[in-house]
Amino acid sequence: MIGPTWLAAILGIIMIAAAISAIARVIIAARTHTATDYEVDGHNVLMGIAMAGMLIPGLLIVTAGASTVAWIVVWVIVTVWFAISVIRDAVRHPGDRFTGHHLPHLVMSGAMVYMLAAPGMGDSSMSGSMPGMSAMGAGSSLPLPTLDYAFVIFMIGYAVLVIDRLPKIAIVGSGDVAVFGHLGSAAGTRILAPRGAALTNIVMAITMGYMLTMMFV
Amino acid sequence: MTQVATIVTQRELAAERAHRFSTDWRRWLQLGLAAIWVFDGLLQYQTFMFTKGFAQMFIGVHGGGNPGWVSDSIHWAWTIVETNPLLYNAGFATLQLALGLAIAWRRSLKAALVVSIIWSLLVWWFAEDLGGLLSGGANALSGAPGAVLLYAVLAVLLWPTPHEGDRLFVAARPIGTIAAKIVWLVLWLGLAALNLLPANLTPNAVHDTVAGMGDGQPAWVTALVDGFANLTAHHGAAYSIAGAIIMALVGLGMLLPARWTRITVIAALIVSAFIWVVGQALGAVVGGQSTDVNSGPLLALIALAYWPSTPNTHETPTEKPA
Repeated sequence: MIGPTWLAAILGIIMIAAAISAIARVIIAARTHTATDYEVDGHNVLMGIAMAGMLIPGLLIVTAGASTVAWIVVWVIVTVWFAISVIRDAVRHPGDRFTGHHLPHLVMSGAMVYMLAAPGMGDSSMSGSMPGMSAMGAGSSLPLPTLDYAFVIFMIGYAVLVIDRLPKIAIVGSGDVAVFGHLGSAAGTRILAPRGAALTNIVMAITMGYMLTMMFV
Repeated sequence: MTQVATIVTQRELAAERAHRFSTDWRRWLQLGLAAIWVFDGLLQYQTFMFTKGFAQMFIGVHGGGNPGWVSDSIHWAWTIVETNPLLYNAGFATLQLALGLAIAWRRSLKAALVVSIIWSLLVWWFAEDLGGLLSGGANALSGAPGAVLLYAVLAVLLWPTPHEGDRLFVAARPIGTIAAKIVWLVLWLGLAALNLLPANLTPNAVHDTVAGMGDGQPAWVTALVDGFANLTAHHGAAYSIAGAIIMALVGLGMLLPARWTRITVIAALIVSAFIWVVGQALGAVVGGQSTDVNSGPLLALIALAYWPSTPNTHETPTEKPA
């Protein structure tokens, strides 16, 4: 991971907090019999842990070799999972141009695979090559810069859209489902702390946008 | 039965309240501006920006060719930023990120637009060398009149105002149709005029502007930039004049009857895309030393603000505090 160490540490802590909040949502929702989006919450738990590991190599969550490969496998599975969700949404709601709210999470999962697979991103052994800075990451060997660019634009666009729709999300009470206008089966169902869920998604998207931007070097 | 009716009514009310936050054309453009600010903020967090090299590259090198009082002020800014680049850049990056997020959040939209105008003008002066307008070599391909100045223009054109159904396009709502058309004319005719500056009429003017811009960028971008650079080598004057004519036509197109407005805007979008891809290599963000996406996307956003729109009677630009 590149970028100032202190900034990476701050973002890493925020990611851990986001993961903990997602776990808390699942527990509270189960205990209080309140609705929540388990798919998205689970996704955020995994993403928070994995991104914290990439941001703070000292945590030894995502390190070189077998650990990185294991995380890539995990994220390929998650990506396939959300791809199926998007297809399922499209079949159930034909004509819906955004095919529900799983699409952003599909893209985020794909971006995780990309970041982990890109040379150097999961390799903490490169840490400390520059005083005061984290390791140089993908460097000039950035494998697919156009894809990286597209991911950054998507993450920023998603974050901005969710922020814009926060009032609507609070009213409808359906997390980021309201962002894409189609409520489907979620209509009339208020999930636990919808704005909190949306904020977690915003933080995740911006942090991922930051990490992908750092790969431009 | 009463309970069912109550639930239905509550859902209808919720649906109505939710509809208040629907997104009209102007809001989409504001979100586009917000996204670009966020992107700039993220780019500003890159490692290089926290070094003294940032101050040297983006502030220290400027000033040449400007009047003494301009170059002195730029040098003054450089000496300040260079003393503690980590602290200053952290502030710059965080401010830009915050501006984007605040524009996206409806409650803070107006305040964010005001701050963005002030910040844009400061950056335009101290970090963009006034877009090179006073130093004689600026042109559209190099980002004239300064990408960050266009942020300020957009903040004005996209200012949230009460709905006025007689306005042909979004940009006319805050300042009126005539003023909006004057802005368009000044922008595009100004860009055309810059192309005709002596420095831009030399045989290799266009080539020297774009050559090397694509280095390190995605392969297809590099190929396009290099191809254009080779094409224009030794023919700088001809290409500059052709570019000036095209941009002047785009500018004058806004004076034609309303039915031509769409064509004019489409032409502006095509020119913006050409400038951004071939002239600016998508902002040359790959490489870790770019602070913004350059002027192409801003020119496109401005053009879209002139797209003839059907009034949306349900628009609610800002959320009223409960």
